[in-house]
Amino acid sequence: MHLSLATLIILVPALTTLLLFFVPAKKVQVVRWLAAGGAFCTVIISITMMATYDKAVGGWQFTQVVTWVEDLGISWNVGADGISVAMLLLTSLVIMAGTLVSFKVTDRPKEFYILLMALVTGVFGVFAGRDMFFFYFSYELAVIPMYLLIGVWGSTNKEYATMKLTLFLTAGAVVALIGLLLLYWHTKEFFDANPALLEAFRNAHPDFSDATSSSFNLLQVQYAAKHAMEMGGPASREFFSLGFQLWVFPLILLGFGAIAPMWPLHTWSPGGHAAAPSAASMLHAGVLMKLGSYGIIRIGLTCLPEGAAKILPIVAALCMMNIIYGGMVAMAQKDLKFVIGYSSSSHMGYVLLGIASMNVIGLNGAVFLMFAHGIMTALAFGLIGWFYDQTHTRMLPDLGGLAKQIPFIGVCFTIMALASAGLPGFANFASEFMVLIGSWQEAVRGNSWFFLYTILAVWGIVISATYLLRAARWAFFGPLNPCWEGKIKDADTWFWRAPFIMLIAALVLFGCYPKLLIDVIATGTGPIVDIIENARQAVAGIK
Amino acid sequence: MDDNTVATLAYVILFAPVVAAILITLFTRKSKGISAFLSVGSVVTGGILSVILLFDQLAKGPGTPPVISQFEWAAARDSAIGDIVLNIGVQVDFISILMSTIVGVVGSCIFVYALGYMKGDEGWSRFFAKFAFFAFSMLGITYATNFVQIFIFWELVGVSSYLLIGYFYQKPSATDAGKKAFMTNRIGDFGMTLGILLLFFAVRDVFGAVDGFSFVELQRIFTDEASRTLLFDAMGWKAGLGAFLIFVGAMGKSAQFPLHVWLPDAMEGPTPVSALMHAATMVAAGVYMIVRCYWLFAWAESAMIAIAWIGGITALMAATIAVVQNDIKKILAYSTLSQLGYMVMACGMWGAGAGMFHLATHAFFKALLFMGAGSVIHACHTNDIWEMGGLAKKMKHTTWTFIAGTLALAGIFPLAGFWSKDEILSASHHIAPLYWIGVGVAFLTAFYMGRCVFTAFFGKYRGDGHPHESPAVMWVPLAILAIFAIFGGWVGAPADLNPFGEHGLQSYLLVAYTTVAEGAHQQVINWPTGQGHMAKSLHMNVAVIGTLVAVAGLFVSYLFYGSRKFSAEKAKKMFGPIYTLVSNKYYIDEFYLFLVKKVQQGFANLCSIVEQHIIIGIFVNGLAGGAREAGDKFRKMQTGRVNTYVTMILGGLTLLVFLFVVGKEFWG
Repeated sequence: MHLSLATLIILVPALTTLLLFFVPAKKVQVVRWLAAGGAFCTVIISITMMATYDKAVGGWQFTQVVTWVEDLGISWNVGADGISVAMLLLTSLVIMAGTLVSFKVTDRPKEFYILLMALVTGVFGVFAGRDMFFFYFSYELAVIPMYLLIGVWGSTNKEYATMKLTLFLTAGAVVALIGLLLLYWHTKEFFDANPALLEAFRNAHPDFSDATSSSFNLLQVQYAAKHAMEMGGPASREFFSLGFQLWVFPLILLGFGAIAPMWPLHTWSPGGHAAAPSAASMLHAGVLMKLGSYGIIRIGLTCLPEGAAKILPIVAALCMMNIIYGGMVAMAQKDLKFVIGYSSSSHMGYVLLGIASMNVIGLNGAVFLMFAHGIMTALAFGLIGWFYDQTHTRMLPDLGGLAKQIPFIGVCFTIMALASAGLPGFANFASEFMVLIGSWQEAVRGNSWFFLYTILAVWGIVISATYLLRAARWAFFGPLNPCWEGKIKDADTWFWRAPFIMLIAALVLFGCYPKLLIDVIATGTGPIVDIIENARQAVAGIK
Repeated sequence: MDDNTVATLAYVILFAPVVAAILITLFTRKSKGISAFLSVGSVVTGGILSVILLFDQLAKGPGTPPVISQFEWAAARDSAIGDIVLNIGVQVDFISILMSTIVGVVGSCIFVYALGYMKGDEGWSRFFAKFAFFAFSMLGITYATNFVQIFIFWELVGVSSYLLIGYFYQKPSATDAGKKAFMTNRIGDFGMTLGILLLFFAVRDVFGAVDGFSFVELQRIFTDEASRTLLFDAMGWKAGLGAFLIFVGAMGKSAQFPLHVWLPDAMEGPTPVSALMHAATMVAAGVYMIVRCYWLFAWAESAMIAIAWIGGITALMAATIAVVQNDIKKILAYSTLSQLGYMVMACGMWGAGAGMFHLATHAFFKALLFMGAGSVIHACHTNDIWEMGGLAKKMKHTTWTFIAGTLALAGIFPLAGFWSKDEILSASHHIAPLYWIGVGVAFLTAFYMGRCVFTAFFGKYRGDGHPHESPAVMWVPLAILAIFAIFGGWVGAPADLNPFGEHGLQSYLLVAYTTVAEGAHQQVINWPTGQGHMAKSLHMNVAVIGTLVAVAGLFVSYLFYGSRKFSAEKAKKMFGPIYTLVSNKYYIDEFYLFLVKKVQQGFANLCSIVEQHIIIGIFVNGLAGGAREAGDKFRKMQTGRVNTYVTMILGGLTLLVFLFVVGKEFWG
């Protein structure tokens, strides 16, 4: 049987997880290298996808459909479009770095790696999945191992943190699930009422020639939404009316917004990052948070565009709380991981702002920033983990002058701080700049509030530079705190350096030449912007 | 040369230093010789190629159309409002070549000098890699084709300065100074980003899918009267605002009041860094951008007035502070500030040519002065001019070059500074208060430089070391720069005194900054104020007054610090509170410290408290606590005793029956 790349990228970590069960716990080296090997395969696959993705054709590629539960309309339905390709690349790079960094884990490494690989299987499943059931399943698969990873291998108030994280994310998932189920039933009713369109859908998609009216297939839902919205005005039509969308979109938004994390649902995140072991916080901040914004784009914007068009301007206002308030809170933190944690919630504000501006450059910027921020923040947590393992403190006043003792980590940390502060040459700058352009474009289009948002967002960049340089200054520069003299080891072999170098290289490559990635992303965002543009014109003038 | 060759050369000039920086960082950190060779070689190559391009441009004559080569860096294909394309490339015209020549030639001297100055430093390769990267960033600004590119390199210059000022990273004051430079520049960039966006979308709004980032496109719009009127009518007051916001970026880089505070602290970096930053790169960037985008500023009159006044205030304020400094590098730092204010002031009074000319001459003699100061510091191991003295006998080369630089800076005929200062004063002729500020600054400049020279180089040696002349690798660059400082100004002299007659520097500059290539000359006399300032001959009154005050300044300083006829102590007492105010730099640093430490950090702490105690404490934990409490309460119902359960069942049953009966009565 032929396996598409999208199937492979989910199967590889799943198989790795399975294989790990059979390796004796004592053979630590085997466990480690097996996990690293699995991660490496995903990197190869995702790079191949990126390289072979046909930009001229666009749309879903590397697809594979196998029916699972016919009565419920659940199938193994995977593929990747431009957005997915970028996210899969991000995930594979972060898990590669994460497995390498975790070679230091000596406490029950086998279980650690099993959970890590299970988690990442879920993440790949979300990014490559086109079936809403499978989407939800993978999402939960990504969240639950995190509970154990933090609870068992974590530090700093880990019980509280992991409880809070899991409750928040599961609650969010349940809210989103309600939204997904509503969509499912609504689609079923729609196709039952319009059997001709079901026939048309089957004919248009040879992969789904046996589709029934009840389906979790995202494409089928989108198809239903599209045709339903052509059947009449937003208020008068029978299916996917504005009323329905205004009721379901908030469920999707809040459900996925909890993990994005949208203010004020963000409080689980800094504490969670701080408590998690290195690799877990790398994945967590680097990839898991992106599941939220990805879900909003993938399901919210495409299936419920009119609801989105009405509600997203409000979200933009919340983004300001993320950006400015999150940044200010980061400025007051003493624990380095909390600084980065709040900075993540601040930066995710830019992603949401890009989505809320609902135009090409804003959405492209948002997806690109999801990628850039994921890499950058994984780098940050990896580096902090490196010295935290040795100092057992992350409190800024206790550190100081570490650059003298661990120059390589110091250089990488400075690079990370500058990248995060939006310095050109790193992917973060290009993406944030695109978000700013997008936000201003929305303001020019008529929503004058976005002028204020853009100004605040630009000021947010000043704030981010303030707390990041402050953190770098306190931890790494100035005279060395004598208690660390000779106590901390630098990443002095190429093996330990590899994960950091790899992440920095990705930031620099796509930062110096963003076109490489943006052209791929644009093939995915283009159709979405078209959908939302139509919806905006339909609902224009309706309060 | 054909356009392809020109563009290729420009790319080589631009990318050579960054290639060197990358090679050093990745491969040659251990071998100092190769690192230095790569770094210095890349900049010297750039300098030579720039000079070749300059001669080519001179041969082609004024008004040669720019050569532009660019590639797409990122884009958004938007069918609704037209594509937004961000480009990177090179725009080669007279102004960019002139700037790149300044960077290349002055830079080469500084790089060679650094070979001597940095000898024995443990971070040698790191230094030369960063140094080359600094040159690259500046060249990127120089050759930028559009606002996005200039902004990208603008930020890179900021980060290079952060890295180089904080070069001695274990020294708290150095890393703090680096941070301060970066942050202050960030505030400037805040304005610049908004200005760029404002302008871009205003142009989009009026002209449709035009690339509103591109300099050439914007220049075409702004220089054509019809389209300019159209745009200005649509923008209204926002036109002035946009121009001013973009200028805010220049205020950060060129250290204009009130964003000047980072520059004096930037002295924490090694002296070659100070020289590079103060002469050819970084601070020059702001002035260069004003000249580069002059088509925009020139028509935004309200912004221009603000620019002129900000420049004037900076010039005066910094000159007064320079008078009371004792650290030789600080004197020069405030002098740079003051001269930058001069240039900006000139630009603000429609004298961009004068500003650019002064930028060029200043680059040479300020680099010279800094490196001279470095040579002195190297010999005396102190920065305090009161611990020097009598160095003229011990360090001959350093002394005569330093004096040449001083006279050039003071604007003594016929040294370089004289010609450019004269242009500035003539340009500012029509705003009387600013003209007199300019004259006052000329006096103060001569005075503080005289004070520095008489104290450090003459009289008796007051330190306790054994000063000696620096090695040739350090003083030969000084001598080269001194030659430029002495003779370089002639190229920009008014036509009747200029060795090139009508074809002096100004004729090229005028054409370059007024309009797009065709039919430029007519435009000159039609500036918004009706002020065409290109001087055919010297304005005798301006030149005489300028020279007189400069000589007076030197003479007064001689009376105080040379012959000691007057006592500096008495003068200090005489000025009393003013002296305190000035020597505390007008308390601007204290004001910022208050803003950062108290206001900003206070607000941050407040947010943190809200986060901890209200959002997490009350809402999140409250919710969790509520759930737990409720669970706790309901748990108590499960007593496990049969009689409780029976009582509850009976009670419930009674209640149900009661409700059923009563309900039936009421609602049928």
